[in-house]
Amino acid sequence: MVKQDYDVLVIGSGMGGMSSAALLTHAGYRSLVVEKLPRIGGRCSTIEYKGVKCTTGVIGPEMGGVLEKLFQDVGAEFDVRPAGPPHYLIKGKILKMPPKGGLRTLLASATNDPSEVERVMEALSKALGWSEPSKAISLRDWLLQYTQNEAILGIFQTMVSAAMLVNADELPAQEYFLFLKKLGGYREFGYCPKGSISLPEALSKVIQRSGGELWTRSPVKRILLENGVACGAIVEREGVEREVKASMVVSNAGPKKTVELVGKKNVDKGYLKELEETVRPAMVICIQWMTDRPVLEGNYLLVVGARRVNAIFQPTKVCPEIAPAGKHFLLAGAAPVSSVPPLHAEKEIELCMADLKELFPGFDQHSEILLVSTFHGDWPGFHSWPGYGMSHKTPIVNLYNVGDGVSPSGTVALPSTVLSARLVVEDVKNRIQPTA
Amino acid sequence: MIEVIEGLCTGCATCVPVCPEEAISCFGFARIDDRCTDCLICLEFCPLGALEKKKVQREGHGQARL
Repeated sequence: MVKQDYDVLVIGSGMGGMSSAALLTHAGYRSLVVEKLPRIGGRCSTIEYKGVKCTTGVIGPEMGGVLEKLFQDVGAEFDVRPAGPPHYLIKGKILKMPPKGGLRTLLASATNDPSEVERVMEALSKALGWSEPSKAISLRDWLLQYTQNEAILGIFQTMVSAAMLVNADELPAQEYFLFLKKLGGYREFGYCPKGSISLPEALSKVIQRSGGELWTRSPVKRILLENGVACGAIVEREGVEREVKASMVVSNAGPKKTVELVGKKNVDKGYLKELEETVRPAMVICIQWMTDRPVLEGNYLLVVGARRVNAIFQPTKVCPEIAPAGKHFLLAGAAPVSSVPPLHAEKEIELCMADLKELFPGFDQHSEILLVSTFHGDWPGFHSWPGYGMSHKTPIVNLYNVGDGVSPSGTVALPSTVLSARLVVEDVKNRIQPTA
Repeated sequence: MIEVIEGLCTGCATCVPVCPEEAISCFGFARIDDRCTDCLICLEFCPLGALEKKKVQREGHGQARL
C-alpha cells in the first residue's frame, strides 16, 4: 500500500470539487483531486461527437455572477461568450425581450387584460420587497391566487423548469423569490467556445500551477476514518490501492454516495433520516442536434406552453467553432411532467420530439440528432431540488459535501456548486492552516 | 458483448460518442448492438458503472460457458 499525504483530498472533479480545490490550492493548501472517470468535469464536461463539442450536462454557464467571480479570484481563464437576451415563443409568436421591463412585456403578451398584469406584478413586487411567500405553497399555487390565466402560469412554468429543473407546481414559492434575490433569476449566461469542459480545465490549470494534483481514472474505494474523524481515503490508481491521508476530505460525489463511501453504520441516524426525506434528484431531458441551417433568429428561445420542451439553445451563433464549418448546433431542454420518480423516459422523449417537430417544420429532413440524454437518479440534473439541499457539513468531523446536492437555498446550477465550495473552503480555513 | 445493467443506467448517453463502432444508442436507456467488439472503452466513461462485460455467453447448444 502506497501512502500519500495532503491537507485536503477532494473526491470528484465536478465543478463543486474543482472550485473547492482551486480555492484551496490558491490559498496554499496541499490538495489532491481524484476522479474516477478518464475525463474531468462530471456534468460540466464535453464529448466530441461527429465534430461537435456536445455537453455532458451544462449548457449555459452564468456570467457576471459568483461563478465568474471565483474564476477571477483564483486567476483562471473564464472563456464564455454572452448569449444575450432571450426570445420567447408565446401563443405562437416570437417576443424579443427589451433590456428593461421584460417581465411586464411578457405578461402583457399573455393577456388582453392590463389589470391582470398589474395584479401579478404587484404581488411579485410585494413578495420581493417585503417578505417571500411561504415554502409550504408551490409557486403555481401561489400564483393562482392572482391569476388563472394558463398563458401567464405557463411563462412561470417555462422560466422555472428551464433554470431550476423542477416544475412550478413542485417548487416552493419561497425558493423562487430567494432565487430572484440571490441569483437575479440567472439572467446573464453564455456559451463556452471550447465546450463546457473548458471551465473545469481552467480550474485544473490553477490547481496544478499552485502545486495541487489531479488524478483521473482513480476511483475512491472508501473514505477512511480515525476515531470517527475523516482522515483520507483508499484510492485505486493504475490498478493499485493507495492509502491517501488527508486532514480534510471534500466529497463532490453527491451526499448519498458520500454516505456509501464512508459506510452507513458510521453515520448519525438523524442525518441518514434527513438525507432520505430531503434529497430528491432534479430531472431534465436534453436533446442535442446538428442542422445545416440556423433555426433560431436569436441565441436562445424560451418556449411557453409546449408539451415538454422549455428552452432551445443555439450556441453556434456566438461560438461557431463548437460545430463543423457550415453546421449549426442546437440543444433543447425539457422538463418531465413530474420530477418525482419514476421517469417514464421513452414517453417523455417522444413528447420532446413531438415538440421539436412542431416548433421546427422540416425538422426530420434538416436535423441530425446527436445525443438524447435523460438526467435523473444518481446522475441527475441537480442532486437535489432547489430548496432541498443538505448542509455542506456531514456529521463526520472533517468530511464535507460540495456540489448541487448541498446547494444553499435560492441557488441553482453552477452558481450553487461554487457557493457550496465557498462555504466548505471558508470552514476549512477556520479549522486548519496550510502545511506548505 | 457489453451488457447494460438495468436500474443503474440513467440514459445520460455519455457512452454513445465514445464507442468507436457506433454500437451504442441511447433513448432513456443505453442499448448495445452486435457491432460491439468488446473494446471496453464505454465501461471507462460510464459515470455510474452501469455497463459490464457479459460474464456468461450462450453457446449454440444452449450451454453456458464462462
